[in-house]
Amino acid sequence: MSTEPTQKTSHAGGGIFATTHWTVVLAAGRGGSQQAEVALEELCRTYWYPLYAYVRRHGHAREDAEDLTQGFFARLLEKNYLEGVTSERGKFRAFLLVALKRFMANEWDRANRQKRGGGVVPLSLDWQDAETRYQINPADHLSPDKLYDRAWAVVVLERVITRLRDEHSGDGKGELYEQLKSFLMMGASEIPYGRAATDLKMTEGAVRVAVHRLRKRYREMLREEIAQTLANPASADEEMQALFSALAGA
Amino acid sequence: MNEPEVNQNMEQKCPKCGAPLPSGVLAGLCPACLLKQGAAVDTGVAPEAAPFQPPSVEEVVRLFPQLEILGLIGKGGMGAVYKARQPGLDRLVALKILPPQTAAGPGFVERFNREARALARLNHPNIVGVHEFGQVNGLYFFIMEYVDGLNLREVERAGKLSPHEALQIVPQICEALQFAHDEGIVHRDIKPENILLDKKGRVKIADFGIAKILGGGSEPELTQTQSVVGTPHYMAPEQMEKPTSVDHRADIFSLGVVFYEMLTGELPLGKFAPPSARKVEVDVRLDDVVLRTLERDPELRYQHVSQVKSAVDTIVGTAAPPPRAPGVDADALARAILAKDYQLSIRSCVRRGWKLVTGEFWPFVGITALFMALFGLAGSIGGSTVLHESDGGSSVEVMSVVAMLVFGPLWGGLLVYYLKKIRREPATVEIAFSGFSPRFLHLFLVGFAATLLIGIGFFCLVLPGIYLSVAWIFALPIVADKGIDFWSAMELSRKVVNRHWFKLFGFLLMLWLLTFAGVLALLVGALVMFPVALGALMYAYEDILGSATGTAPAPAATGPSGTIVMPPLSTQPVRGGMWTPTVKIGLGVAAVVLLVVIVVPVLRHHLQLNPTAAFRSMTVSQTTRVDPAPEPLPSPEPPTETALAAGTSAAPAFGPVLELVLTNLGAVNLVSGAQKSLPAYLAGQVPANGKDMAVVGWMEGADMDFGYVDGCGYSMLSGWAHLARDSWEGNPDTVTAALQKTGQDVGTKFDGTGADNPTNYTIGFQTRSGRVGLLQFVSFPGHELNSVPPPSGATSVTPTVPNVQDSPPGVRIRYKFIEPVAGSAAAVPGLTLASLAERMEAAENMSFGDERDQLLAAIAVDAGKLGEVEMARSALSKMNNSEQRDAAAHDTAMLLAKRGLRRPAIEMAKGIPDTNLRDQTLSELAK
Repeated sequence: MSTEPTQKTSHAGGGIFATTHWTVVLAAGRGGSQQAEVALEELCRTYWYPLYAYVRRHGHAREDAEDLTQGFFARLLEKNYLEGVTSERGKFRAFLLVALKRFMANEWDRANRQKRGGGVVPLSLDWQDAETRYQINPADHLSPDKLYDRAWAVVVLERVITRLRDEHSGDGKGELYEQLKSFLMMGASEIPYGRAATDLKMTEGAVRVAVHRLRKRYREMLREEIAQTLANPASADEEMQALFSALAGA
Repeated sequence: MNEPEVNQNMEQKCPKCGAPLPSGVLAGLCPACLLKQGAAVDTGVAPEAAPFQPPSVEEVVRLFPQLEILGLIGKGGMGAVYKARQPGLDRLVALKILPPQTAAGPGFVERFNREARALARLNHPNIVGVHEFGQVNGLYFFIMEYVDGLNLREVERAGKLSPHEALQIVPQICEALQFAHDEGIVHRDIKPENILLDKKGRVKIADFGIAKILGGGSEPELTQTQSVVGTPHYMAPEQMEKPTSVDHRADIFSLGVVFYEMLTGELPLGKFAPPSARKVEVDVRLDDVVLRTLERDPELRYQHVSQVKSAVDTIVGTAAPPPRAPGVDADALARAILAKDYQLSIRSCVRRGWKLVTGEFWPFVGITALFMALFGLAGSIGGSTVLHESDGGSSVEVMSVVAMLVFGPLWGGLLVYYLKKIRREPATVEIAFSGFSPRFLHLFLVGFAATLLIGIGFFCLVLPGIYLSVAWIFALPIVADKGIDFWSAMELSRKVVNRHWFKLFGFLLMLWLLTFAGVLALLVGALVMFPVALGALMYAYEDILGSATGTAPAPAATGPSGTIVMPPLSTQPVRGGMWTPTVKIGLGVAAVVLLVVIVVPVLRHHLQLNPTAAFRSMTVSQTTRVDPAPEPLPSPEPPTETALAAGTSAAPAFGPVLELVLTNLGAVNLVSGAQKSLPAYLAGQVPANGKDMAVVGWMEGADMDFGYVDGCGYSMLSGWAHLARDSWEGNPDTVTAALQKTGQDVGTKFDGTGADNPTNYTIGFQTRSGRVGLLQFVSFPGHELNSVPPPSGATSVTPTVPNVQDSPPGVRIRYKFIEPVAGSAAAVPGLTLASLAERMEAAENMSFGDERDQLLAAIAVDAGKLGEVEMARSALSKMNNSEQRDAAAHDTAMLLAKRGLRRPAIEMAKGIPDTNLRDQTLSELAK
């Protein structure tokens, strides 16, 4: 998966000039532009796995799921799907699912398994990896929709973590990151600074500072990442909540 | 670190939240927890930054073997300080150890070395000297001069700092700073905690340059706790905005803050007053010095600390000027205010007023409501005593005396409260009541005078009242706030308002509408809107008047936040003392008016003096009886008993002849002989039971005199007829017949001459209570008429009227009533109007039903027996059941007719809806 930080967002409180991928796509509309195409492709490339998981959970066998997903993306990238889906335009996540459902209901002909789009699938997706992930994914009891949301949340986090890791490695703080990354999921009062200081051979003060910086950066990145899929970056909180409940509600 | 559980199946769960853990990229990380932490709102400066834990004494001893460590003196974000002794030199030193996390920052070591070397160069009696510096075991330290004493903060807290002492300290600080600045060193963190005072009173400034060492050069992010990078209150504005580019003038600013705090005990925040305004003991000249050090723009400050020192030394050296002349010059104030025009933005004022009130909702609403209640209370207390008159009274409506007294002080104090809040000065409930102490006299005067004159303005022609009430809207706050005398305040207000009278009129209208809207909104809204209106008004006041004073203009200084330094609020008494001529005049007028208002109605009530001389006054001089039968004057109630005694015949007959000579134009009760003056009559002060009254009078005409009997208007006579003069001797029935025929309901005026001479006529009248009688103008005393009493049988006589050149002083009338039929009402003892009224009230309070109707019917019938037409009508109208009502009406009409009240009876009959019954009644009556 691509891990380029593609943000053009001013993430400070969702500034006026925030352009996320999704806003670019929406703004382009039907006319489409080079920029919009790229943006959409980027989005799809990132978030295709949840769709696959949805399709699989929906009951389709592996090959069908593959075919379906590919077909859907082909369709999507033909830019026809951006019309008609007005209510979900705020969130790419919701939009994508609705579009998929429509596709599944109306267009995909099971019998017709040829790859569309002239045989050229613009996205090369790692189906094997997807299937493996799906298999590992333990939440059998979740409905396809819930599974989709959950997978989405995981994808977001994965992206963020990856970016975070890469950033730290680039600064030469890879080791530090590895040691401290588990603190990202702890509450402030739970973090064992003392032990970490001992382990890292740093002063506790320095550990605190480093952890603080890491957490801060993590939050920033998380917001950015989520904001990319939103038409209004300021509603990132809401989206985060939704994702959190998707993860937590088991 | 929390290890995730590893189960046999690859499913892993987060130990914290139980969510299943994925593998792959997020290995070891629980997505739920991760997201939860990611969604948490960061609170800015790292809350996880630990407070600096100073090394223990033992550790320090270990680390510094060359010193004898005596103990920990203090610690903070800047590090920890230990008291120690250098055994070799046998001197006390202070060992300062910097927090270790500071050492982690980039470039620290270079900074440390550089600054430490610079500090070591600072060899000055007022600067804490540095003996040594270095690092041991990762801990960076200074060994410094030990100062045996307190820091300035501690001294201030102990309350042992007088302005005089402050003036001893500041020059020493200046010297130290100047020395350091000459060496190119800026302290950057001047604050009371860093200014030490030893036991000999010497000032020692500590922690030079520490801020620079610890704060670092380029890193804007606060990775440490706040106290490291300067205390915000003492920091110069440029230090906060661009920390890297400050120069020595930042120290001057901090010095100014410290100076101000020393003098006043408060920090110069927001809109602050000059030190001399805060504390009286402070020399006024210091204001300029302090304010100049506190200039926001470094260019405007003193450029060198030595300048500050010179200024302070000068002030200390020379004697203080005499205390400020008390009082505000009203003329200077007026000139200052009127010199410039103003803009009034209504919307802005209203908006600010709204913000003000909603900002501190309960104080404003509560205090204002309290004041409204107090004022209402004051109004009711006084009012009940002044206007307690039985019938009629003073026609000049007055506020109660108590309300007049408290109006000015009460509202003046409240407005000051609002002003103080607007100016962001502390304001308490006591402030709101401040109108009652020193300024009471003037506030009372302005309130009283304004109200009085406005009242007169309204009374005259309304428009002057409106004009004045707008013009003097600011009079009260000016008196309360600026402290000038009441008349000047009123003049000033008027002049200021005159500039834009219409705009202010619109503004006040708007405020009134706002409050009224609040009233409409469940009345409670008024409790909110009224404070908002007051707030808006005070904002307008501030905009137009607030910033001017009559004293020497305050320096146009700006405080640290860039806001204008407010000139002092003067609460001084009026120049020249309390008893200026204006005050005396004002008080005199107030006393006179109060006297008039209170005393005169009381007097009048007792003496019944006619206050208006516009009309020719005629007093009742005598009441004589012509009739030889010595009957007592009949009482106001229908004289049932006397009728019994007097008249024995069942047929209606005339009662005794009554005569009155009237020299008082007014309303006469023909039955009782009581009179009411004309003004009272005109003012409608005739009581409701004045049904037997006629207005009889004698007025000057253009070239003739005429008298008139006027029964129109206010429950006066209900019927008139011009009868032949000789019908005086006639049959009572002719009178009633004549009255029936004419059906007049309005009074008759008579001309003075010729055929219309009232003396030519006999006037038949009927009062509203149903009494019928005859009235004659007998003569005009002073102008005797050669009236020849008509011989019996003669139809008419024309008396000769003398040529009247001047007004006769009075008129003599005589009249007699047709007595009611005996036996009808007397059979029921105790049947009086009063008892009927009681029964009526009881009946009204009953719930609708048959019982109620029956009661009312009975009342109507009894009223008919008494001849009380009105009562009967009223009772009938209150009945519900139409059948019963009609029947009762029938009965009542018959009874009335029996009493001789045919016309009312006929009217009552006409009012019966049931046509059959109506016709029947009418026909019966016609018999």
